[in-house]
Amino acid sequence: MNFVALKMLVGDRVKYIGIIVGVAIATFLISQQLNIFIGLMGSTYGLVTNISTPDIWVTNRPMQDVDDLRPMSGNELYRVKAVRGVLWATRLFRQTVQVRLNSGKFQTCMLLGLGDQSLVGGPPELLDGITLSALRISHGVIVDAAYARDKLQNIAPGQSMQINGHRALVVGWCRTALSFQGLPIVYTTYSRAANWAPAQRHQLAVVLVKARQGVNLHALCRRIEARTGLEAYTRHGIASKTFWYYMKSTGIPINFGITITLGALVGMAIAAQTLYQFTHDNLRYLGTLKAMGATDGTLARMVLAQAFLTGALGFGVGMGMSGGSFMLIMHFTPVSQRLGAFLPQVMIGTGLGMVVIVMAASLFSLVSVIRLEPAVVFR
Amino acid sequence: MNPLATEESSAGSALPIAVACRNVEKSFGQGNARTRALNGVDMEVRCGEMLMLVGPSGCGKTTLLSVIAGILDSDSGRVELFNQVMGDLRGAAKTRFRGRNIGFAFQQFNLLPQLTAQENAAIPLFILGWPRRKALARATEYLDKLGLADRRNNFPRQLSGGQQQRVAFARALIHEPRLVVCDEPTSALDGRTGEQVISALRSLAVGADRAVIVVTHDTRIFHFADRIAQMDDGRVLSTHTAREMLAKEGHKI
Repeated sequence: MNFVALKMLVGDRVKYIGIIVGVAIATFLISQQLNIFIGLMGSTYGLVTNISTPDIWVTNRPMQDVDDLRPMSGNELYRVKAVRGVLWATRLFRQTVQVRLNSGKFQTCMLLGLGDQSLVGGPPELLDGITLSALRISHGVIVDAAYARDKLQNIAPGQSMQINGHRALVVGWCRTALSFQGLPIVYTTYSRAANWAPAQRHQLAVVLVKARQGVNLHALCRRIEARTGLEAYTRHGIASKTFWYYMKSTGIPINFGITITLGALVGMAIAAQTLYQFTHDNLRYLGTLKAMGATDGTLARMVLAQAFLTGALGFGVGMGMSGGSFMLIMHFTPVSQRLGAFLPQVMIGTGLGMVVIVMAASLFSLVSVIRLEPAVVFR
Repeated sequence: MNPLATEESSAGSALPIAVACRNVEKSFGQGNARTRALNGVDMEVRCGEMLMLVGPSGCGKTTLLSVIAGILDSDSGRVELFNQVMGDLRGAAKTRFRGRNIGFAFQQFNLLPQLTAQENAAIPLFILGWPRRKALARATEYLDKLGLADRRNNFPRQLSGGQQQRVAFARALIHEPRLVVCDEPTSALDGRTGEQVISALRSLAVGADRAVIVVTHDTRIFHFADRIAQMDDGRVLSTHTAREMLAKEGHKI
């Protein structure tokens, strides 16, 4: 009877398209907003993503998120190194600075200084075959290629800019994750960064730690905190703390939550209303089938087959719209304005959400079919 | 003219009983709005018989047809179809019984507009779980018997009223049910077409182990009936042969 159900559905084109459009709009709204939300929340701990290698981040107390780092004394590095279980520890400088470009324009950037000797904490991906040792070139800095194009006026390796009056020579490009503030990241060595940035009493932002093999990272964090009075987090821990700070202290989750919920409700309302209307308009025929021997189970399977087909097609169309919109965003907007990405996890999550929405929508139809008196055929 | 519509054949007491109704009652509504649609109906239909139910509007014809066909439960009394007490069947078992044993034809045909004539005719076989190809082949056979083989790929909107009713009859007969129930099958058709479709129904649906019940107001088709049951106020008042009924109504046979 699924064949009959699908022919009934496809034969009524206006309602058929209406249901698909309803599901597609819900899919589009939910997946689009979820992708943006996840992208935006992921950018809140962009600094953690952009500094590879270390197991543990040690910061001054108190720290509410990774962009709220209070500089500490340089001596803290040695105190951390002395803790049992630490294989090595290195300094990280972090400060926002004004960069003067060749055109005379200024651009605020985030300056990261890596340990002079180890160069630990470099970007996750270097481009054009360069290595971090390029930073040993005098005045050398590495910048994100996409930001260089968007915000640093196409600055390329071999060209220079000024940081607080000091010449900075671009020695290579890298690729970094989006940061919440949307600032271009400039990597250089710790000493150079400390020398270039405006002076402040303390300059050490983070001590990056590598644990000895087999050491429990959480236990090591607790030991570092006990020995130094500082705060120590695993890589996941500091990202998580930042994520939850933004979740609890900003309007982002509520606003996105409202949009996602509205998308789901609007989609469900459209899909449920159209699906119910379709079933209602066909009650006479469903009653005929019931009179002729189609059981409630058979009719329920027919309604579910119709819901499944429209749900699957609507989901596909909605995902296509969502993917297409991201392709357009990627093509036409600068990297700093991109708030999300097309994530497969979101696609799966939205798919599951749409299954719930379509099932809920078809429930109304199912109830009317099961309550249907076959005697309606003689009225 | 129907060769069976004689007093001798309609008496037919030797033939087994297809439908038996004993003191069947049915009401609708509650309190002051309660209406008695069936008020103690006693009636029999024998195998090999086409029985027509006639009477004024609201006298309970369609309600009785619905109760006999098992799509409406009576409040009291007993309905038997081919020795099966309908009151003993519940839910899906009753629905399956209908699917196997009863064919339906409706006043407004109730053909699914999105399906072709062939697919519409095959619906009872789809419900019984026949493979699609086999069901459609059987539908073509029945449409051919009803003179519609060349219209099998047409949708209902592309067919005339008479053609739609023939498709509906093909659908009512395709699974070879033992009882066919028809509600005003000719009311939407002109006189000649009405006679043609009832003639076709009679030739295909009435057999030694099968029966047909037709609810109608249409005196032009009375002569196809073996017996005609006159209803009023929710009761079967009398049963006559077609000849007697037409004579009573003052029609020429």
